[in-house]
Amino acid sequence: MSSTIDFAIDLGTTNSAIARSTHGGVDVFKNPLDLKQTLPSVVGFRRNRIIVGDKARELLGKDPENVFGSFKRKMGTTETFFVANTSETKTPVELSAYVLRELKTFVHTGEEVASVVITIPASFDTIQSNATKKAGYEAGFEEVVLLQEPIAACLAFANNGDRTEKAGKWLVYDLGGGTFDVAIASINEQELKIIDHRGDNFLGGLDFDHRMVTDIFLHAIFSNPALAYLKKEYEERTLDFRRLYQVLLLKAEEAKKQLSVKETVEVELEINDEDGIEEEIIISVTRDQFNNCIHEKLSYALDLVEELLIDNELEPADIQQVILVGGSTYIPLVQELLKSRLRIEVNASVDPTTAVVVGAAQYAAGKQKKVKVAKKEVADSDNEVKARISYPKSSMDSEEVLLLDFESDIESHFYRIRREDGGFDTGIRNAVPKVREFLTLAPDRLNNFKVEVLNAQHAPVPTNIPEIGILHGKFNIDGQPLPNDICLEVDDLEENRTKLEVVFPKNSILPLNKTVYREVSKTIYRDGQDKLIVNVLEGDRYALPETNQAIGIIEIDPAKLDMDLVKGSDLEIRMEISESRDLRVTVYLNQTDQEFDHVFNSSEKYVSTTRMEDELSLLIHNIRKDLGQKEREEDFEMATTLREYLAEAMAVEEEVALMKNTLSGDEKYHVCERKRRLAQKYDQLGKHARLTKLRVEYYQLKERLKKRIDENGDKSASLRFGEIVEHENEVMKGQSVYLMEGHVKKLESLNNDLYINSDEGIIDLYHRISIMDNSRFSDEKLAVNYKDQGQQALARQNYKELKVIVFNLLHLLPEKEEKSAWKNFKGTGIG
Amino acid sequence: MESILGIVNQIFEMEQKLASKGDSSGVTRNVNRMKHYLEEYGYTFYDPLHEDYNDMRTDCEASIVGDFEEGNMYISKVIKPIIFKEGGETPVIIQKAVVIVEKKA
Repeated sequence: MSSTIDFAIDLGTTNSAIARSTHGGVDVFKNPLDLKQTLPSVVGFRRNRIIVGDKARELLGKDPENVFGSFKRKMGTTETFFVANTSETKTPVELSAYVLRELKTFVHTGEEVASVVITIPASFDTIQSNATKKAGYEAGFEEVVLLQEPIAACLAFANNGDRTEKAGKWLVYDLGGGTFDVAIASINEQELKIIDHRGDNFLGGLDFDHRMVTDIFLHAIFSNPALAYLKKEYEERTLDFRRLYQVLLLKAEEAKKQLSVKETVEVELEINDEDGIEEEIIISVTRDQFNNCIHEKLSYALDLVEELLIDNELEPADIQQVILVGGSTYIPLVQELLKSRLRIEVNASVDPTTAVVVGAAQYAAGKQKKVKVAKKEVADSDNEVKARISYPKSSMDSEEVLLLDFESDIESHFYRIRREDGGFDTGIRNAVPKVREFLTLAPDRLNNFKVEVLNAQHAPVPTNIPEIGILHGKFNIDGQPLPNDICLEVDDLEENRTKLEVVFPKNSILPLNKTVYREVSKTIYRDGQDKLIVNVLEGDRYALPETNQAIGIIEIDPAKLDMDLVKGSDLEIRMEISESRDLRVTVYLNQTDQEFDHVFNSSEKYVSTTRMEDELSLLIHNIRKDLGQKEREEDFEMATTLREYLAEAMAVEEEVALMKNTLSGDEKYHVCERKRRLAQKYDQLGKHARLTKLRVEYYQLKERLKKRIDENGDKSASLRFGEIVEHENEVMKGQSVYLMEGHVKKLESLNNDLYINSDEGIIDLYHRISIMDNSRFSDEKLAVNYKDQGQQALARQNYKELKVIVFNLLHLLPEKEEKSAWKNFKGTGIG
Repeated sequence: MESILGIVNQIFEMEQKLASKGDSSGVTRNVNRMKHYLEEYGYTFYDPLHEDYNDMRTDCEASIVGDFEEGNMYISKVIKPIIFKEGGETPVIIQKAVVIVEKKA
């Protein structure tokens, strides 16, 4: 456990933050609810609930009797805040303690934070400083060390750069969302101290947003004749106008951020005219226009800087550098004015929004702890708060009720429920024996909620309450699950065959719908014979396509196309399955802007003669190939079975050919079923043995490759290896020979690449090619020449050159005939 | 991350425009396609328009127009949608919706 404080909090007037120093630097913790690094310093009291941060800020000004912000300005005064909802009085210290406690919840590392550095403004006197300390103790910290904000900021900059060069006087220019502070710091090898400071508690980024709205947006809106009527609404501050003003403020904030990096932004607005018809208005805002809006405010800030320098009898030239703190210093004009008016170097090398907390954490890293953290008590089941909970595991509603019956004494306790994705938070609520809480659910997903029980100091206590998971929308207990995978047949051009792509996996709950986006795998000519075939199959996704049952097929005749359908053009295939299992398939061809659709009834079977011919042809090809191999291996038992299958397949093929003229409905289904059963039998034949063989092959190759990669330390090969191995489990579980073969091929390809890129590999390959007879090369003379050059390169040990020569020789060899190439492959046309 | 959020927000705006102004040139199809690709990267968005609003909804950043009356507020306008990123066991909200909230009539 660390002996230094390490943790630091920037307890700001507008926003606060918490950070921890680590060996590698500083971690600024993020709010688990929204992943922002800052928390608005606002506290709200809603009946028996306390909310801190963003949600409270939304209500600031709307409910002034119960929601409080900027209480930091009142620290150390006798001023109090009366909470109407609870009829209690809260001090600025108590309100600050709520913010500090909330910041503690940002610490996701599970560490107990007993000691902390808290920053205070340079202007804070002893009473105000002590009040801040008191807030820290009230929040449950056992040790609080204070640090002035400008000093913290200086530390962040000093530790980020070269301290010796910058020794001297620094100006800390801190322009936040609502406040402005400037301080002069003196920095040298021994110490860092604040000489003097100035500030304005009512100047910041929010003022700039208002100026953009009033000076630019409203001017443009009122000058539009259709919207001129809004001027009167503005003067009367009608509800409609206030709604519009909020939208404009949000747009202004967005535009302000963009103008920090762009010269011009376009703001799009849709505003109703007097008759309620939407008028679109685009306002182009240049950085110059924005600068004009805020120039006066920034000049005033510089006046304060100059006053500060004069009061301290300093010239701008006496200042070594200006360091920028606060989010509003991102505005380019801030830096431009500082440079042009004061002619001082401006340093913006540290993130201005977190500079104070980062510097404070760096300070905390060197500050010895005075209190020891008591070891966390191991949760004892006798001491934990016990509760019975009940809630539905799934829901179709947007909110669900959670019942909590506390069985332990929970007097002076609180509870808080938060959704794991950050979308729901009850805030801190008084615990009562029976709690009934409505939880808001995110749509179509699993919603996990965490229930925390807190003691009087708002620290979590152990409970027996597990994490709560409610599945929304997707699960309907009355829904029917799919008995098999529903797949789309697509082409695999590398293997000259088709494969299955799962669209709806087995056990998906009906009804279902999905759009699949694919490309056309071959050009389909209007005057050609090839059709585009959308074949939807039901069965096992890992089996051969021909073993599955076709449940819907759309064959797009080329004559129906408005133009040739070019290879690579896009296809959209939408599939919808109703609860009664009717399948609707819609095919949209992007290139021709044509749509084809069909509803397939679940009680009918769909058979395409074209697909059947294609499938049978492939089946016969594969059986023949296997038969030849088994005969060579003298596996007579297997060969006999394969011969039977071949005979059956050829008989079915003959039947299809005969059927073409006399095809009756029943006959077609019968032949199709015969083909499917044969394909299933063939797929299963020796499948186990083939899978075992492939698995052994895979693991042996994997082992060899791993060793080779470890030895040569090739990072990109290691990455490729990792990517292949990552999907290993999925493939092994799949029971698909086809997938296994593909996976082994990937390893083989990596192995080949490593071989060819190694010196030993290229030497070996050269020797193997150089002993080949010259007559085997397409240009004998050139081959002899290359072989000579190779010999010389080998003698010089120039393996790069040898590699080029080997490739040249390889190009002179005739291309290998693809052994397994199935010449008659037609496919579906879907890639 | 910022750029992805920007793209999602633009798609959301396009959807809103198509819904209010009609889609005479079939752009909806392209928008759906873009949504599909974003989903492949784990990004989905959700429009909470007209839903009830209370201050426990930390999936929205609300600007409240008029008075706040607990239990009687709704989302009257959505400037930016809620954006989820799939990752790990459950998705996380990477952008809260930016909404205008007002009292129900």
